[in-house]
Amino acid sequence: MQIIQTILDLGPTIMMPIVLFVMAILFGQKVGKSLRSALMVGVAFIGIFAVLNATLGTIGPAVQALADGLGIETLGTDIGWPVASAITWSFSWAGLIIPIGFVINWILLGLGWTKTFDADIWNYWHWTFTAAMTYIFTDILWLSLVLAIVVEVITLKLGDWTAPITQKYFGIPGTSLPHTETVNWAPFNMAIEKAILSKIPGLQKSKLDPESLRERIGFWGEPMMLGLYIGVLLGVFIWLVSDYSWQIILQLAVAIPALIFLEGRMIGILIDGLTPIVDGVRDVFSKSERFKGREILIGIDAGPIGLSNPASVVVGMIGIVVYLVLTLIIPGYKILPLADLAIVPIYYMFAAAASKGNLWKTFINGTLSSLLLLFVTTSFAEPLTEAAQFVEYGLPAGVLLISSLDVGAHLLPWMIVMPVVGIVIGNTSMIIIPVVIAVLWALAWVYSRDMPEKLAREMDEV
Amino acid sequence: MADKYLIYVACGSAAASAALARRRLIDELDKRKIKAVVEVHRILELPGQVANRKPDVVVVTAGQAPAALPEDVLIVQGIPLMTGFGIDGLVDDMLKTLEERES
Repeated sequence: MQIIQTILDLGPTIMMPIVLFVMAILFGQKVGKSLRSALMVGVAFIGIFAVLNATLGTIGPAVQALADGLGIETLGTDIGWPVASAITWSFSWAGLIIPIGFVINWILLGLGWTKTFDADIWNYWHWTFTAAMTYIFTDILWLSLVLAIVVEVITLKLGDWTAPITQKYFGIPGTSLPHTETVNWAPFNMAIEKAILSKIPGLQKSKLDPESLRERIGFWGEPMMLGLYIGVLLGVFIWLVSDYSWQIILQLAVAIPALIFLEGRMIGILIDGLTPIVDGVRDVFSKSERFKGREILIGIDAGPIGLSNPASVVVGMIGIVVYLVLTLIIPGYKILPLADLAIVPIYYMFAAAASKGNLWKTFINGTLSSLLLLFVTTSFAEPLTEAAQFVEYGLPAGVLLISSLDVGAHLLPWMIVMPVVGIVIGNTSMIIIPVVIAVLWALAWVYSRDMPEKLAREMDEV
Repeated sequence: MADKYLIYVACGSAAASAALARRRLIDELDKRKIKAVVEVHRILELPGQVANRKPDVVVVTAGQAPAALPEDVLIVQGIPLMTGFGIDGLVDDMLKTLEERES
């Protein structure tokens, strides 16, 4: 046992390759391929943290200087989802979530409680994240895993529920999107469409064509280019309100694109390395006779779907400005959106689905979500920062608080983790707001339960 | 040795799932001893990339392909590369169509 603990203590760059190698072998993959892939995962982890080290030292203190200049107490940095997920996977027990998530999914399918088989193993990190946040507060592993399972079960149900409209509207037959951080906004998006937006006459016809607008964006909307605009804009602000000289504009104009672009590449390497596990899980599933002849939806990653959907992309570009402005004008938001601004379109994708691509409605509905999303981003900042320290990732000097918009998009984990943790550690102030939101959320889901089917039918009729 | 194809995998983000789709496609082509260059591009940049260097095939992992692509580029719906189910059929059909076009 001692040796296992010693290896786990070496951190994710050593631990994850070993865990994944063993898992790939257990799932029946070849030794050579498994070894190569496992090594790639270790390489990617080194890359992710190296990129963060190389850029955050410039970005973090500059963001804090902006806060000081504007008279805001603290302003943390949005480090982006690749880093947030890497921190999450760095917990010694994190690898357990893959087999646990798979087995739970299998049992639910067997019982007929879900139609979704979630083949998007990488995004099991949403559940790992749930467990990691619980663990940071409570140190209780079993409770952390239980809450991760609760989030998984509800996420699968959300995937089932939204499947009629996601298949039709996004053009992805046979699939569902059990992708916590996006699909957990669907109850609010669907309810707001049903209760309010569908009843405003002037909103029903939009003359704007998302497809032609998307074509016009072209490479100007590429994440790296977005990083450039954000960097220059932020640099100018910082130059105006702090002691920094004008050079900061140029420094951020390169540092922020570097963070966004290079982290994306690192994730590509990581996923390449995960392929044997993902395919191993699929092979086990497809060899089973149990589910033959049943309607099974294959759960896939919603990220690329949202980032290729014209309405989400077009509105998301405006959303970038919305997120920045909201953070600076509304007190209480303590994380400056940065790296994850590149994926803002995915936070509008269920608003787009609810309105079948009506740009005005997508904008209004998704912007309402952003108010809560930014709140959750701040709410998770302290535990995430603590988690980074816990897994011994040393934050550069001058960086006090980190989070990411994507972390803030984890509404469902937040509604479940915060109240439970509040009860366990006896902190009642953590409980009330998430519980109120959770009740509203559940009511929204019940109220709009017919929406995905109805929207899909309407699309057929056109 | 078979011809060398240039294949673009078009994806929303060119990050996580695109890497998986690319790896799966390469593995499947390797199995059939087909030589091909497989590149990932973001859907937004696809028209520019295609104008720059025309591929034989564009595999769109999910969602809508941009309308403005030349007619002689084969467009393949690549959902199987996302789900992991039905990749065999996708690659077989794609190669068959490519061979027919050549002859």
